[in-house]
Amino acid sequence: MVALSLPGARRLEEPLTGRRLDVLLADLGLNPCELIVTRDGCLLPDDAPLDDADSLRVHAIVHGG
Amino acid sequence: MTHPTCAACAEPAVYLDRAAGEHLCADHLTARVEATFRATLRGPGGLSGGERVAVAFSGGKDSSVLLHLLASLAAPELGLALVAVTVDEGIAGYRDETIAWARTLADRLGVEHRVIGFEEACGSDLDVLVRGREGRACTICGVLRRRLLQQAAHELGADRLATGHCLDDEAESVVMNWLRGDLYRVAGARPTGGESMVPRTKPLARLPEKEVVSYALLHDLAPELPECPYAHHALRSGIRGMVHRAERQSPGTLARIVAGQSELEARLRGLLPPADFSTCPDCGEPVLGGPCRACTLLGGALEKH
Repeated sequence: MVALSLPGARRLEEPLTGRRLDVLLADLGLNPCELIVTRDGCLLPDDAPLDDADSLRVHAIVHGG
Repeated sequence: MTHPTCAACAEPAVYLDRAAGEHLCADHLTARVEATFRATLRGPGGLSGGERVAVAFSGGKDSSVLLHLLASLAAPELGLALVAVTVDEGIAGYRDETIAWARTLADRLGVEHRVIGFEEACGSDLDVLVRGREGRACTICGVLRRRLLQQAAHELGADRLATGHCLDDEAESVVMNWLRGDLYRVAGARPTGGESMVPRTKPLARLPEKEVVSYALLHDLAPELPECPYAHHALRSGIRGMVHRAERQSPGTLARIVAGQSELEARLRGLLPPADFSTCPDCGEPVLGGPCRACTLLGGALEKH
């Protein structure tokens, strides 16, 4: 299970099933163009491969009006 | 599957440029952001040596990157004098933390820093001004914030007002102008007069927001801060989702929207008669016809409260 920490202090656990980061985000209804994901403090490119035990932090890049 | 490596070296990639299909490591992403920033500064609407520059500095990620780049690269290279200007709109549960961060970063960078409050300048903070009309919060805030930044830049003797608008903001503005049917802005017709207005410059305008925020995360410029509680009311937030969906489906869309607008403006230049600035009868600021939007908004608000 991949653990995701989302903006707004939401947390999710999601089975990986071999998906890349961008595919995982898209399946969760998230647009990679509006997000940056870090693993252990390191930025990940959109097409990064993931491990089943990964803990990911999702940062929103969009801001106010 | 192995982790992608940088197109320019063997280091692990931290960023994928979808339009170019190119991976970059932290060092090469940093180099790209700084090179694009420098090129924008030296291009049309950029900065000249020795200028005094007021920096619109909200304390958010974009303006933190802007202030960092101006202070660490542009100021020493071009001999600029910087003063950071933060507008305190008075938004409960949001502004205190971001202003504390703004003070910390300005101090770290050794940049003079001024904070201007809505309450002091407009008579009320934003929370009071928008009570009962929260859906218009971003419009009201934007009009008043732009006015206060412009006034501050003028009073501080600035030659230019630098803002942290990035490529995404520019593309959203193009789409918003079309959706509003704003022919003058679509055609790029610039008003004449308004000599007391300090010209703006947008050194991040060619950088995608994702590169700007990645740079912020890589360079300790993005602390965990609360989001503005009014942000979801903005017309811009709907437009933003639309252009980002297009960017996801067709990488490079944002850049093409902005490039297309520049091309359109170049071809239409001179076809529309320019509007003339006049003077707001209430505050004396330059305005395009009638009382300015700031006075109109404040008048309405003051009557109501």
